[in-house]
Amino acid sequence: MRNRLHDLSIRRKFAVVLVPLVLTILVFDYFQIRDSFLDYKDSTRLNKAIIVGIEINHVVHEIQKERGITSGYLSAKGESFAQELMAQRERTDSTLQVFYREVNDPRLDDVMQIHGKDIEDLKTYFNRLSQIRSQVDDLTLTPNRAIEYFSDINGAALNTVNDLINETRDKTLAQQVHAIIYFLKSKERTSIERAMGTQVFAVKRMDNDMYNTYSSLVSAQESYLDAFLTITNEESREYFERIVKGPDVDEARRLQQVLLTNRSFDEDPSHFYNVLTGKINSLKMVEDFMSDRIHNYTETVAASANREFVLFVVIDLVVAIITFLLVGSIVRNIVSNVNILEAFTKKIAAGDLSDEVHVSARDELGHYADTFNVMVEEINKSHAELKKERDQAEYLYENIYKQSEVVFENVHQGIFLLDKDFKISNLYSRAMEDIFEQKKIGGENFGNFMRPHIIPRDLEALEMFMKHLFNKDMDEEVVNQLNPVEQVKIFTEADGIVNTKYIRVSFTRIERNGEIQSIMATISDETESVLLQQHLEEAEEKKKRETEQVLSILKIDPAVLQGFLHNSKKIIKGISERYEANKGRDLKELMNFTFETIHNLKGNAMVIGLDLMREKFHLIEESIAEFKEKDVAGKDFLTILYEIDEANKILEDMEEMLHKVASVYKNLPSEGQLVTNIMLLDTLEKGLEKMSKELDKPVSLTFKNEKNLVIPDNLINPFKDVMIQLMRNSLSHGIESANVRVALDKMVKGNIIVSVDRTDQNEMIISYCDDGKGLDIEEIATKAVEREIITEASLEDMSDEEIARLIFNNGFSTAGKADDYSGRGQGMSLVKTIIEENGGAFDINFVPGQFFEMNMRLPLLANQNEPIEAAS
Amino acid sequence: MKLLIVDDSSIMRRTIEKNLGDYDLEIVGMASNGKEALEMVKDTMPDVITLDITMPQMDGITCLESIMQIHPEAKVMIITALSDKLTGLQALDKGARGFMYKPVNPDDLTKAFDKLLNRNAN
Repeated sequence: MRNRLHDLSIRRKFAVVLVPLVLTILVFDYFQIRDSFLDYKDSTRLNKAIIVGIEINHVVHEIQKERGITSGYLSAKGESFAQELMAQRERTDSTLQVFYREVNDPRLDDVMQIHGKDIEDLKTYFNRLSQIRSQVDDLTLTPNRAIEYFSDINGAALNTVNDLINETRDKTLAQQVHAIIYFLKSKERTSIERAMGTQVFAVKRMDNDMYNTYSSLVSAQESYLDAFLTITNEESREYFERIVKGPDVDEARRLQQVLLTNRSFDEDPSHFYNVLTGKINSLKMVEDFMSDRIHNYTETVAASANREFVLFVVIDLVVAIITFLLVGSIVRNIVSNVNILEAFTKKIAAGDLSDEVHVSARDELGHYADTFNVMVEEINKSHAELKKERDQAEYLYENIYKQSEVVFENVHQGIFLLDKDFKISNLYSRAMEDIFEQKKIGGENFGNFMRPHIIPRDLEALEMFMKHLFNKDMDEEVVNQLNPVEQVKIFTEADGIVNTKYIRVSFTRIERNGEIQSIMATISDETESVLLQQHLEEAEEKKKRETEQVLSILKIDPAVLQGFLHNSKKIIKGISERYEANKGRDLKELMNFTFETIHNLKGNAMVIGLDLMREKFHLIEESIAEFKEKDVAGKDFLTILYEIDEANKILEDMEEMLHKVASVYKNLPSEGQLVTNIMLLDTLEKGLEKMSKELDKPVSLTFKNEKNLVIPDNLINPFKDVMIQLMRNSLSHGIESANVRVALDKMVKGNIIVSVDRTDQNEMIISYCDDGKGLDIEEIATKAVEREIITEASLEDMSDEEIARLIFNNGFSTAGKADDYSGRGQGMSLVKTIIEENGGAFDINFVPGQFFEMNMRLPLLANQNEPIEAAS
Repeated sequence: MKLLIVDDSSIMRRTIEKNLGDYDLEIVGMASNGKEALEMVKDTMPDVITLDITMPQMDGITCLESIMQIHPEAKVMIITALSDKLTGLQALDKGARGFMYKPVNPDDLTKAFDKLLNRNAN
């Protein structure tokens, strides 16, 4: 019930409160108005009743007079009062006529409705008058009986008047009505007194019954008058006392005393009648005055009741209208304001905060509206704050996050973060994908990610390293010293092609609140710089080689070098020619030939001190030796030929450089050829020194040039080649080691003597001699048989010298092991070849344990005495 | 604080000795191999140890493991010429707190001591 009441709309709530209130007021007003209306009706009715009453009183007054005259008439037995009686009967009848006319007046209908029966009863009393009169005329009535009859009529009339006016709601009026009734009763008694007195004085006697009647009549008359005077108002009393006095009243009191003393009745009855009539007329004036006053009063009361009624109705209507207007206006105002607020809150709820709400009333709703406005303002402020912050955030996003994204897109380094589980952050720089040629790198464990790219040992180290990186007890710098991928070679695969890259990965801890939150890793592709580094190293190497070449060239006699280069190129060319010619035939023989040739070139390089070429030829020699161990296939030659070709290129490079250097030599003041020879000797000495050191056999070279012979161009190389082979042979086989020499009582240092001379037959005579152990004929013979150079049988026919010469045979070697200096038996056969190629001849001479000597003769050509040409 | 220097090179041992910086380190021993070092650790219980990895008889890593069993509070700094990162990381795994490569220059050595001692003082 209460909830249903609470749920009502405001308009209905007002109705619930106001309707009972208004109804209560209306009911109350209804009683008030009805009261006033009844007062009015009462007064109006009373007013009319009084009119009827007055008319009745007039009739009573006339009947009273008629009674008095009739009493006198009867007492005098018709002798007197006859005229008066006739006149009185006419007056009585005329007042009766007035009364009858009056009661038939339609204005008195409402009075007649209530008192109609009383009036009708009264009329029957009045109708008795004619019967009484006829008995009076016949003189068949006693005066007392006549008085009695008349008094009955008057009694009924006064009772009717009493009935007519006795019902009133107004206390003042009721009091006056009672007063006048008492007064009328008193007046009636006075009138009876007049009739009785007139009768007594007429007969001049009064019996006891009559006296008793008279004394009680006077007593009643006095009592009613006292009652009247007691309850009537001041005004009526004053009027009474002013009017009812004078000679008649005094005379009436004297005559009354006469009658009451009951002694002599000599008074004139007419005198008594007139005196009493005078008194009664004055009483009639008081009666009329009072009737008039009551009539006026009732009119006033009716009018005032009427005014009151109208006023109440009007005031009620006005109050009702004003109330409804006010309440209606207030309710409308409240409801409209509530509606405004409701609409506004709905608008707010819908998110529209652009407006203010305006409620003109300064009541609670007005305050609500103000509060709403403040609230909306606050909300707007907060919105503005939020918008500002959002704008800032957007700004930050636009300008920082996006920039960093742009950086991440464009930076050439791989950048990403590692979390505690070593997972790669989802945000990483684009370069990562380029470096690893892989997409969608984010979220993967970095160790797993690197697994296919690096070697297992590095991977193991990387995992251990990351663990230490996240250990905050470990110093970052200390750990970073051990970064296993600081520079690492990685293998990436894209479209089936494996690429090799060099990357550098560095790690930086990102700490927050003293904890290592993540690790920032940066990866840069160092492939180019590493390759550049390698290239630079190679270039450095090449430069070093070139420098060496230049230095080699500078320290070697240009003529010797030029000869060496020329000769070497020619020999190498010979190899490829031989290869072409030998195609499909004996590969083994070809291989042997190649080996011998290269070995020779190596020896030459060594003797002139050209380490670069010596090393190169040695490498080729090693390669050939490898092939010699197994069955030779054609393709094996390709490798060797390639290497030989490389050697040829170096030779060409050197030749070019030599030409440049030669132009410098040409400008030297001394004679070119001499310089050349000095340098040749120097070269041989150095070569020997080198061999001596490496074989740990101390030896010295003595060069004897008796005729100061300048070796011609064409013989420089053959001379040098022969000398080198011979010196090598001496050191390898001839000259004993130092302790053996000491044991043999020889000089610790071995000695080699070379002498150059010239014959008249344009021959150059070269003599070579060492103080070694000479030749062991037995050993040579055994070896030669072992190597199938000769048969054992043919040895029988050979001289010692013939056996000794077997050392010049191809394939003969006495040393067990091949090295730079001894070779594989080609050395001495090469000497023989060179001498023979140059049209020379030789012989050998030796004493076992003492020395070995070889004498050679080489023809000199006339035109070969000129110095070398720079441009040749 | 007590310092033990373990290195098979006497030159190295002297270099470390000379470059202790401002630290109040009392050298309680110098060992030239792992076995010797272990004996000294047992005897002197040093606070700080500099440890070489490549040494005769007992290498640094094995030695470090044993040191950590005997004296886990020791602050060990590896000073090595070995360029293999994995070995270095293994040393950290076994409990080494400092690490530096040979050849040692005096400034780096002082810095390494700074780190080793400050960090552990925190």
